[in-house]
Amino acid sequence: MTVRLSDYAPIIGPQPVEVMQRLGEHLSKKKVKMINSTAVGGGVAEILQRLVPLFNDLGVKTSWEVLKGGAEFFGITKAIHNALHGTPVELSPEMQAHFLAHTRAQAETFSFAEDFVFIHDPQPATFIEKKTKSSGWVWRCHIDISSPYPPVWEFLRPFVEKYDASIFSAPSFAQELPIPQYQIPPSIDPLAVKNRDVPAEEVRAYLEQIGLDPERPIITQISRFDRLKDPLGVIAAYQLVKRRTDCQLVLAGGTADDDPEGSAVLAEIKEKSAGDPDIHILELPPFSDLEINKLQRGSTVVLQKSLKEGFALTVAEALWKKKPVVASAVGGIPLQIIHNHTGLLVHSVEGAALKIKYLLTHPEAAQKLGENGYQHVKQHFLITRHLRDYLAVIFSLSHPGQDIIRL
Amino acid sequence: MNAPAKSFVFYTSVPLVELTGRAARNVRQLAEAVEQAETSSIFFHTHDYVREHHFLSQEYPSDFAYWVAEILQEKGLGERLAFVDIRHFTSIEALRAEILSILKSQGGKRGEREVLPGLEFHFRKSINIVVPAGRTAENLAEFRNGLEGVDHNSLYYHLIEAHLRDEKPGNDFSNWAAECLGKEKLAGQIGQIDPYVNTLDQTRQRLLSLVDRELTKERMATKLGSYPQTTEVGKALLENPLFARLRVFFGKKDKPQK
Repeated sequence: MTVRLSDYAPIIGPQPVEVMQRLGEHLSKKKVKMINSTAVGGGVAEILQRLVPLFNDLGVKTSWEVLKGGAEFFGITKAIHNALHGTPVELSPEMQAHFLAHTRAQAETFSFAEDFVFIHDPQPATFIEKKTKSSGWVWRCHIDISSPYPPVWEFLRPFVEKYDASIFSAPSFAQELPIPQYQIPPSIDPLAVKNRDVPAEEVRAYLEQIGLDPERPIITQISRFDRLKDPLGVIAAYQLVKRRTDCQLVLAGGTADDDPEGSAVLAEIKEKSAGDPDIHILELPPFSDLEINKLQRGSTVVLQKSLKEGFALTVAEALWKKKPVVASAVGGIPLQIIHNHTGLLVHSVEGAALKIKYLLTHPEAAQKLGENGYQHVKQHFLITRHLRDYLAVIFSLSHPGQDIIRL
Repeated sequence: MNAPAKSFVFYTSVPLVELTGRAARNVRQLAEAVEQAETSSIFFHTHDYVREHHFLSQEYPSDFAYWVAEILQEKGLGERLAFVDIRHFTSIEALRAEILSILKSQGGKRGEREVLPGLEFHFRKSINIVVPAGRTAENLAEFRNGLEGVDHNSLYYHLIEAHLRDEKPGNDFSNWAAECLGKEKLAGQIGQIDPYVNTLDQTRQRLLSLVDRELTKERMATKLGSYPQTTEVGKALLENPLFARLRVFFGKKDKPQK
């Protein structure tokens, strides 16, 4: 069933929906194209699956097309991705030539008759060579390129600089560029299975089904089994709390079958938690959105003690469920957690333990943080705000250099 | 903006946040950046705060005050920045100078103390798309309905942005009440509400209660004014001192007796 913008009115209120409809009316004769490199899987595809129908629901004719490629091409784009994240990955002249030849050949298979074109991430970045003067092109970068491996960034930069504007998820993710840079954080969908309301009895039944005691405090971290998510640090923090405060710990993530490093991390976690029946390690299969939803709703405190992060939308998901969150100040987390207001930021295992203990022993404070967190997400991290921001980018492209645009 | 017509047109502003590429890790860098930042960036960090975090208590009514006190943990300096009465300034340049003088008062080693990576102050600004909110008011009752239904961005536009847009005291609501409705007292009361120390929801509630009180007075005045003064009961009431005081309170003067 296609979701319509009006379906969100009960959540965000009728006026914000009306305003977006009014903005849409102004753009009803415009056409927009989104291009990325995956149709399914990954955060970008997930967001576009929701955003594109909402654009069309507003009357802004929007298409979404996907850059195609083989294993060799995507091997190169993976190397580019890692290098932009800061890993020193060499991009040989042959790799560069293959990347350019493939993306240029792909660009020939697309039409670019739209008024506005949004190119997502580095894979199709060279498509900018097809830009006509009358159209507005935006490079939407979903990754943190604040400390890229310089040779690879220098290879990509000339293409990026040809765009009319760029979009980054957080100020700390951006690069210095001669084009406007807009801040548009990613978003969660309150109507998606992972975030919609679940009756309390269903949550309780699920907790019991997986061996948790709903009557005792539950600390949860949901993330893949990866060292950068610091699962061993999570266990260490839990153990410090457990010395004096009763609690259970859930570490839930995707299965690590096809990831050798993930399997090794999982083995270490199991070893460290051996003998403690209150530590629950859950390997969730794909499409476990409802289970994640129930876990988050059933938690007393949600933890995101990562060492490095992308935007970490798991934080927004937990805040949306009015949960108190303890998280590291990395990646996009400080945008979501305003320390002492919408959650608590920590910088060490001991800090995490201290804050978890505080929240377990001060339920009123925990409730207040959760309530503020919910309001913060409602205003800043829902798909409707995401849609509104994209509409605003289109208007800003049509009115370059203006700080106030009157319609 | 609403002055030429008697009716009040509610607008709303849709913000788009733009990154400036400028960041600060300590007080010295913050001062340097405040000195050099675009006017729109200073405006963003001292005014958009109300809109961005409208649900929070406005303990630190600017991004600068919050960051210095809560992130950099320079509580004293943060309190001094928080005490800057933003409503007092009708020019951003004067506000910039005030913030700068406070920041520059903290020199030496303390001014060099840095926040942890990831917690830097990033200078931003906003582009605003102003669009009619789809609500207009010809009178106070219609104004109340509009006020109740508009979003936070609309309140921000009429209460906060107006203050500097028109470079005069008050806001769009108080100016309309005074200039178009002739309700100077109500205008004064609306102008007294400080949106920088309240959440936007609290501000809306205060506005609504002021308007409700005024509407009640209007209704009472109408009722008292329409009382049949020519009947025996009416004459008796008019001679009652309490009734006379009520009429005075609700602004009704006795009609000349025929």
